[in-house]
Amino acid sequence: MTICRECGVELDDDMKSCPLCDTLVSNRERPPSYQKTGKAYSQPEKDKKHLMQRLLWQITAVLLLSGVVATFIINLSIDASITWSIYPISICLMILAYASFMAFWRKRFVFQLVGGWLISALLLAAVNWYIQEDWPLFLALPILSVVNTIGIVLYFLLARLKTKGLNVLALVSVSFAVVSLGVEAVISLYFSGNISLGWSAIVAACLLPVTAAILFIYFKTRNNSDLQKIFHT
Amino acid sequence: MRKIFRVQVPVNLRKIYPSDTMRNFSLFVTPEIDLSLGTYTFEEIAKTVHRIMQLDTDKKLINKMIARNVGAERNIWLKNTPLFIKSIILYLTYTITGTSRYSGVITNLGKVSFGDTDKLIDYFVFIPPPPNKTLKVNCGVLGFDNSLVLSFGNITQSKELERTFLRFLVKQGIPVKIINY
Repeated sequence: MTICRECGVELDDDMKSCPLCDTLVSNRERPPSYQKTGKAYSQPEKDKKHLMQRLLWQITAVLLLSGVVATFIINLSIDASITWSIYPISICLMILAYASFMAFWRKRFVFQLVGGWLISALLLAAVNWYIQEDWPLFLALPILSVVNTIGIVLYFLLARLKTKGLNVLALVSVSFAVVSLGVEAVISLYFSGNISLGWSAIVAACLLPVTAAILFIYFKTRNNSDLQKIFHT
Repeated sequence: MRKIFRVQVPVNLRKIYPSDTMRNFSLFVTPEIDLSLGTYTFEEIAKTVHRIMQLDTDKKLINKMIARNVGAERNIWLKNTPLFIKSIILYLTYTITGTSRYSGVITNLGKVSFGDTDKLIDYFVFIPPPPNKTLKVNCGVLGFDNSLVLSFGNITQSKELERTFLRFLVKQGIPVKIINY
């Protein structure tokens, strides 16, 4: 019978160390633990997360670049110049820029978004110069800015939440409504010179009762354990 | 922020409603302590858990719980909602909020006995399903042949919970043996 001198528990005969405190049974010395090597508890989890991010980025990059090459070749072989393929190519490259910042730049989400936005702005400026039309800078860029700004505001709001539950869904729903309002405002400003809201107001009006219902469920259930009792039966 | 320590304990309903079903015939009781009220001694925790378990396993309260659970199924709107929509909503809701409402799960099978066959069995262990990412640790408990067998499931590197709990048992004079299986 072997008793661990640190924990006082009895150990199985074939155990070389105590599973609770890692004290060796034979020479009764404590081996250096992961805490003493300075490695954080969650390091393997972080490594796994980064590995997964790199893998996702590789898959995304292969898919997007395949699309870029395919549209480029088709457009070139049919029209002997780059015409319509500039749109899918620029969209694919913008998505790739955002994905690259999120996968490799170990900064806060806000900085990653701003980085993706900057590269996208440069790309849109290049498209603007190539096609000699103003919509990339005066339509696409403002829409992208609206989406990014609301994304950043949403990020800060989510970070300030003390409890995360259905209130997250409600915030996302409100963000969708604001994004649609902002996108239509930019579109109407570009085409008619003034802000007029049509479809986005309908979207926002539809999302309002959904948000209200989600918030109602959230506030009704946040202080009791009804949900778990219902879902476990 | 008000912090509640809450443990989910399944209650075997076969003892209340005689049934031979092989399905998971249980409901859950959630004893809890409010951590904002101060530090609790073991005796205080034991007293609280004991009283909540006694109160919440009352047949009338279990009836109420079942009626409430079944009540949702009788709702005309919910009845006519397509199943795949309900499944998606319930899945999302449970993923987001379900397991965040308690601090841990203890699955207790109670005393297990196979009659005369008991003497042919060296030890009997119940291994619960792995804990999810929110809870990180769970515990399966059963009684077999004068022993209480605990099986911890843990997806973290820390053994703090198991160490503190088992050292506490040793300090209380309860012999503890860790086995390989």
